[in-house]
Amino acid sequence: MGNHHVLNSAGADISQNDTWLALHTHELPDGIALSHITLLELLHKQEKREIVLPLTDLLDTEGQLAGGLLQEVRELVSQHASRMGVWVTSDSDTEALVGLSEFLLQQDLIVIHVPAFTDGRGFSYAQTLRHIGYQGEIRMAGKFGRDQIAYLLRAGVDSFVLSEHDMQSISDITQAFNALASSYDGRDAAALPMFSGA
Amino acid sequence: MYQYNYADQTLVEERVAQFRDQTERFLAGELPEEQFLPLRLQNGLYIQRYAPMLRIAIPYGLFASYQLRKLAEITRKYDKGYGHFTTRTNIQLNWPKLEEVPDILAELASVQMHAIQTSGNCIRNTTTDPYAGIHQEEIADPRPYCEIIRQWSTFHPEFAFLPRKFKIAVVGTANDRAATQVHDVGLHVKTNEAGELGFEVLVGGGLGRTPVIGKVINEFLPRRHLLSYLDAILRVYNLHGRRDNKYKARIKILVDSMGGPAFAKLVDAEWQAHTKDGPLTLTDANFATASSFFTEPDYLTFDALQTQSELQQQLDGDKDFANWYHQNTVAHKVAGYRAVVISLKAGLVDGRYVPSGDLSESQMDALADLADKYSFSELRGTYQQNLVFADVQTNQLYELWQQLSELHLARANINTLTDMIVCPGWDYCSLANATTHNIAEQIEKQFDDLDYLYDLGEIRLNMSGCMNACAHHHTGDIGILGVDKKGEHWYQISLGGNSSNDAKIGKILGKAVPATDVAITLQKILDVYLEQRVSNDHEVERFGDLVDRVGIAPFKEKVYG
Repeated sequence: MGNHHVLNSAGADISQNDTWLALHTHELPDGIALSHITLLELLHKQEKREIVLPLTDLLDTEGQLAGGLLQEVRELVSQHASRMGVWVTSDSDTEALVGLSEFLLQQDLIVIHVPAFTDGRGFSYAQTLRHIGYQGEIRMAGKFGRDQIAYLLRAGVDSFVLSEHDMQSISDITQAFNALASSYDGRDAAALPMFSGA
Repeated sequence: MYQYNYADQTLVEERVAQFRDQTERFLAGELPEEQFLPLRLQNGLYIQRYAPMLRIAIPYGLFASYQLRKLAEITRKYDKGYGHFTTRTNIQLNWPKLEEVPDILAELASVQMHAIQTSGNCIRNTTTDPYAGIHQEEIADPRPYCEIIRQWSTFHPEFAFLPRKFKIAVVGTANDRAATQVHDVGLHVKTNEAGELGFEVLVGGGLGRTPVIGKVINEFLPRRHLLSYLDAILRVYNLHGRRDNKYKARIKILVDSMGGPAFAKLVDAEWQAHTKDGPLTLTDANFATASSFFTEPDYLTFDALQTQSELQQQLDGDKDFANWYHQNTVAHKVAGYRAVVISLKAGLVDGRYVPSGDLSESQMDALADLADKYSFSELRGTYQQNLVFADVQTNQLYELWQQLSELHLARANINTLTDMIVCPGWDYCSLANATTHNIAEQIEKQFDDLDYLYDLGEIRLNMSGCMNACAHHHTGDIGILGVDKKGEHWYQISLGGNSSNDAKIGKILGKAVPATDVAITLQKILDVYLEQRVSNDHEVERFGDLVDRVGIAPFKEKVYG
């Protein structure tokens, strides 16, 4: 990990104040959070931390929240966490997401990990989360590009984990947040140019 | 036609700035190729065999004379002095320089044009009937709906990185002139028993490697739900469409794999749960606003008898004009007017083959002047790669014909064998497996007798240089597909396709023929047609109808027997 930055919806680098930790697992992708922590380390911490869990690891084969040992682990983490979040990949089944809406609505953070620049499912994940009424923070991680940020913001994303490479550019990163400033979010017909009275 | 307001204009200008930044970052080595590729595609820019290609959008085929003049200027200044009209009513420039593309886009923005979403895995230009608004039997003008879809799909933040491209076509008459059944979504304007306007919704049509006819998933969608329902279709596709294999990523594969009813159910569930009756719902006031941009021009009234007798004299006096009138003009709902189809299939001009759909910069300028003089300054592009003047006074047809003739734009071959849809082929497209222009030239030389073409009647000949089927070879009465066999170009022929109401995929005749034998093979096929067609006093069996009746066996026998 490391060499990542978290930017808020205005394009400001909030890495200094971001204390989310991804729970370490075998399949933890790079850049879900700025740092990670193992279960054992977490259990030894005195103070509570902000923890992001892998959603798929919490589910049973039916796509429901698993009971038994997994549930106990989840509760244990929750006792040591001040805030909880989950990360999902574009391979997560969205029907499962909708089926888990009650659980998702309780999360403080949902990180969507993008496996490839051209994989646009994350846009619809974000939109779907907003549709089911999720009001918490949606964060994008993985291989999305800075040129997709403006669209992601409109699809309902709040923050972005960017690599060092994406931050360095001949043009200011905030340009990416302000691109196509006049375009709309796809949710309201009244915002179309001919109906907006502009 | 639709006039940009401040918001539209700002949007296209913001897009130019964004793409300029992206191009500069790419040229500076900062923006990786795998990210620049989808970004440039969404600005219409391909990198082809010899040069880039820029595809400029002409929304639902409608454009104005001042825009055509700008296109002429751009092709002079940045390209080689011509443009190529496509089946999806866009125009392509074949020789722009990558670093000059942002400047071209800025010039286009100055006349309310752009190249937004003309390529890439996003919602493309919406297409429609070239005779929208002027047809007697029209249920409703499809253009206001096209414009609503254009605005909704332009920079839609959620649907810019779909599994694959997405094309929508809308028609407002029972007769389908926009190939809606081979589009990702086809919308047919209709009314229900209460007289309410809405759409029959088809989904999952498409050509390419796996040609499929679209399936009806909603028999009547009230028009107020147009956007929320499209939104649901697109979300289901974006989330469930395959991304592991480019050739199985179109919505047609998704719909086919689960079946039309199951797909419809999924869309309906998404729609009912989230967006139905929400803020995407359109109001009657919205439709009134959209329709206000497509009002009728100031038509004049004429003495019908006098107009008709003058026309008759002109027709009787000039056989060439009469041919053109019969082939290249179309009935209009207003008495005293006709629509004129401008053939972009000049064939051989001074011995040189002019590719289908090509228009030179001087022709563009001249045509812009003619549009001003004869057709309320508007033009339309057609699915068949021709142009249309939609509102020409019948009493001005003769002089218009004379002027078009001088420009080599009055070839009276609309709907005949030489009104071919032809993709640019191997020379201009890095996807192509075979050349097309040389074959089209060969066909032009073989079939240069107009009276013979008229005797053959209506025949749609479509030729693509590869499986991607840009020229819709599957839906031609005769389809030609260029294939590569060990570095040589061969041509596979299919018969019996159709893109209209009776949409179907043509059947492959047999093994491909070598480049030298294409025209002679067509001759054999046409000989069979002329021998076997049935006619009576009223009508002659059309080529497509004969293929339907007798199948491809007799053609196969003649060609390969």
